[in-house]
Amino acid sequence: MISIKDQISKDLALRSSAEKLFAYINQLSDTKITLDFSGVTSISRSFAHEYVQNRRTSNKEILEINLSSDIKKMFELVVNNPQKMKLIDEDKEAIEI
Amino acid sequence: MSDIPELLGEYLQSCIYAENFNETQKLDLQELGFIFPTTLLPLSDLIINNPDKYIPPSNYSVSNYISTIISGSGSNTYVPINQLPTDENDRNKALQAIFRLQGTDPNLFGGVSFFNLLISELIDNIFEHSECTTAKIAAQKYQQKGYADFCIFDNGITIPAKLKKHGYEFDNQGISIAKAVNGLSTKDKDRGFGLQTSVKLSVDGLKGEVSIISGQGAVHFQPNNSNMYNLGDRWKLNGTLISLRLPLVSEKKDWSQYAK
Repeated sequence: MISIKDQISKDLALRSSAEKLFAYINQLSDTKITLDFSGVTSISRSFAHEYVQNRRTSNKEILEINLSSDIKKMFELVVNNPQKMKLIDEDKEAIEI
Repeated sequence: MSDIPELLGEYLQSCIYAENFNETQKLDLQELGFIFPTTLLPLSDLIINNPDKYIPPSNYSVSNYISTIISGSGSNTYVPINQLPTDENDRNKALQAIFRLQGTDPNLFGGVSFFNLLISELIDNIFEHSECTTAKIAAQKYQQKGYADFCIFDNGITIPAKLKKHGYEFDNQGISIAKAVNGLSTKDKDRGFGLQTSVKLSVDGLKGEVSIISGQGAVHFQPNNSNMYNLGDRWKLNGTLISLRLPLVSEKKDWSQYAK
């Protein structure tokens, strides 16, 4: 079993952390890997997206345990074809300074 | 410059001081009565690398503040200017220094999940996209003013140049930044959410403000208003500066309402 909090951090921020996690997992001899998310307090979208991508292509059987509702929500978000939002009107004229 | 948002104005102030330095070979801050991280972060290298040309503010509090934020050790009211490490484990530790600004209030800035998500996406973007050699952060909580400023600077390729490198070029660089915020990515089509997530959480979620300055363009977001700016050559930035001004409001928020 791998404790994600101990392996990475309680705050899963960086995309590269997910990449590094799976580089480690994929070279283990076990075919089934349990990832314990106990104590993980936050997760970025970037980490979650990279995690999900790597999980899909990993040759390991991955079991996640002790996911908080926030972590589950983020994984669901990145899996379920999210739509990009238009936060600023690109056709508006830029103000000259 | 009276119609320019404060955060953007603070960046322009740093340009004026840098311009004066280039002309006079002196970084003269004698008259400065107050300084925000958005002004100080772009000037910090000038101060550190030219100690004999730096004239500190006559106002002792301001002078002392600059010394502290350049070389202090940090607390739950400020994050000193420090370079983001290249080693990933150390990067995670640097993030903890920012997260520490929540202090003893777990609901400040929307709560742990909300705030950490907001900041993490901005930091991750630097390492994923900027091609920088240096990235720095600084932050300051202003209890009496009722807000906290967070600044992130990298000396990388700039958002407009990065997009141009991948075939996306627009009439002005403010539009490039706007496109990036709206989700245009140089990577896969299912990427490009990081910047907009941070902006949405900051502005819609926390009713804060965000200024993104990169190359010759800038965009500013505040509740119910956003604008693009063409900085031209005089105000251009060799890199990207993202400044947030977030109210000190203690209320737990659900990030998923803003990151659909």
